[in-house]
Amino acid sequence: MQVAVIGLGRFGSSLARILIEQGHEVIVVDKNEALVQPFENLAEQAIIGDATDETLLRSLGVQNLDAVVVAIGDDVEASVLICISLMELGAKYVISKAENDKHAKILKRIGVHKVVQPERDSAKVIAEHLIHPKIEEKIDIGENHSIVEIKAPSSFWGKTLKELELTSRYGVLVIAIKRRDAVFDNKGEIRSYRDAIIAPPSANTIILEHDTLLILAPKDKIREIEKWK
Amino acid sequence: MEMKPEQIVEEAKFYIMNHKYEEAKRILEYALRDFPDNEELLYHLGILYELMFDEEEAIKIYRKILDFYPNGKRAKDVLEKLKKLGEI
Repeated sequence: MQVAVIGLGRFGSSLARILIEQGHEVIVVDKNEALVQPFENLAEQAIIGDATDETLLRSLGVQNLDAVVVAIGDDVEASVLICISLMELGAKYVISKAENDKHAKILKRIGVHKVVQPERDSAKVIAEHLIHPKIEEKIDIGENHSIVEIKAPSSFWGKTLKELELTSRYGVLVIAIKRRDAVFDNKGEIRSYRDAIIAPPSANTIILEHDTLLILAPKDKIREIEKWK
Repeated sequence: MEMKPEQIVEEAKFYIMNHKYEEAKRILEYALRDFPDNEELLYHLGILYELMFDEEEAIKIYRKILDFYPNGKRAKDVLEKLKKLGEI
């Protein structure tokens, strides 16, 4: 994937590094030479320049990139200007960081495809973890349902889903099971492990020790799920 | 008669193969009371924690092995594991 990251503050530089580590072609842009310099040997292109200058954006060929991330939050004016230019230049997918709700609203009006507020979003994740400590992951599906990831309680181990009757007893559905098995070599040594996803599990699937369950549940049942032992 | 650490490790591997992780953990931890710095017992307990998705405990055990045996039989494997876990 070809991605441009505009703005190399903490968020932008972390994102660029992760994308580079995962083998993507990344173009980085920032006005500040000191922030660009660490990317000189890592990024596809490391550009020192002002991205509010449309000529610079045009020279990047933004319309040919898979995505452009505008990681400028503190300078709302610059962020909005850059996003307008990107939309006008026909960028395929624009993600922009917003400093606050007002900024986010403006970016959405311009037509930015995805607006993120990293501080608010990570605060939400931490708050969720505090509220639901047993839930490893939670994805909301619409207003009333969530998919939650939870370690299978020990009382479930060795039982089939049919025996557990989770749907009739709790109104929840196990949609997948995550399981980790050891991989042995021909000398009987444990060489590594293999993560398997059993999706969808059948009624006869047995829950094994330390399995992780992905459960589709009504939101009002999450508290009950957390009480499973 | 008391079992040797290598016999315990073989038994633990049998339990691991059969996905009886708690039983494997129980016998390894029990044996570590008699042989607290045994490299093989520690190494297999580290693996077991990884299998149980408890990376934090696995890292603690792997670090302990490197402290005790920086040039030990398992040092290379442990270093690779710590690297994979993002600790090096």
